[in-house]
Amino acid sequence: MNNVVGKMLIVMQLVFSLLFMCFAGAVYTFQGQWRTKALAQEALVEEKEKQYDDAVAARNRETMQLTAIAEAAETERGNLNAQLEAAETQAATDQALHAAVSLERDKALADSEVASAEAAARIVEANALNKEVRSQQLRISALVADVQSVENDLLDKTGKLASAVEIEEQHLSELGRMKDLLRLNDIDPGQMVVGPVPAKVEKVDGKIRGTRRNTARTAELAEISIGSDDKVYANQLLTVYRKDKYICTARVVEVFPDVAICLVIEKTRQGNIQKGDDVTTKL
Amino acid sequence: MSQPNSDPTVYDGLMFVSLASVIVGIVFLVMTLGQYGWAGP
Repeated sequence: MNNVVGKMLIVMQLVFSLLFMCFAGAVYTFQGQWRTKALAQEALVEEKEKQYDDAVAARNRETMQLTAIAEAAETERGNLNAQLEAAETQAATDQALHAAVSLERDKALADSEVASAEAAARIVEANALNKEVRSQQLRISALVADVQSVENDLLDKTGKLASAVEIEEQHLSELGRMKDLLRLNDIDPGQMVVGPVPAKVEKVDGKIRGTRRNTARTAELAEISIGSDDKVYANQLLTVYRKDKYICTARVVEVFPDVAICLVIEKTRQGNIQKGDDVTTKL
Repeated sequence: MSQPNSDPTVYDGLMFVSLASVIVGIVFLVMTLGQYGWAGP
């Protein structure tokens, strides 16, 4: 048995020894090619590592650039957000202003409507005034015609006045001649002529009972409440007044026992006579 | 009681061949290491 095991071990030792020798020879034979390939693979690995490093560096640079761009974009976004907030604030302010302007516009429209209505009223009033102006112009034309007629009358009166002055001069010359004649007859022209003394006028008060004008309205007659029984006589001058206001002077033209008729002297008139006015013979 | 010397057998030859193979393999390894200066690749 030991003999068989020893033989098997010897054979196995032989086989392994041969394998060792073969492997050692193979290593000695092909180690140059393996080294060349290994070096080539190392160079390839180094190149790949270099490419990897370059790619990493490029990626880092790109990352930094992208980070910078992102930061810039973030800053830009912040700025845009601020601008957006400012724009929103401005929009709110503009809306408030718009509302205020709308209110102002509505108020202006209301004012313009009122002004339009007022302008329409003014136009109507202006038209009425134009009509009034036309009527006044017509009236002025009529008054101018009246003035012309009055001027004509004035010229006529002036002519009459000139003739009256001439007559007065003739009368004065006649008066002088008469005075000379009186002197020639030993009569003093300056001596006062003594005549009848008028009766003493007593104060008598009465009332106006009524008045009446003639058709041409150039004279007015007044009936008074006193007459000959009150010592009123014809051609007596009476004063018509109302309270403290002087109205006119009237001349008695007709006398009856308890009533008299007076003619108003127009050149003394300072007002219209009314029924109930006071009349007196002596103020 | 000594054993008597016997003649080498075929197994002794095989042992010789195997030893020679080991020596040759060691020589190859030594030569290979010598190319790298004994410092490894």
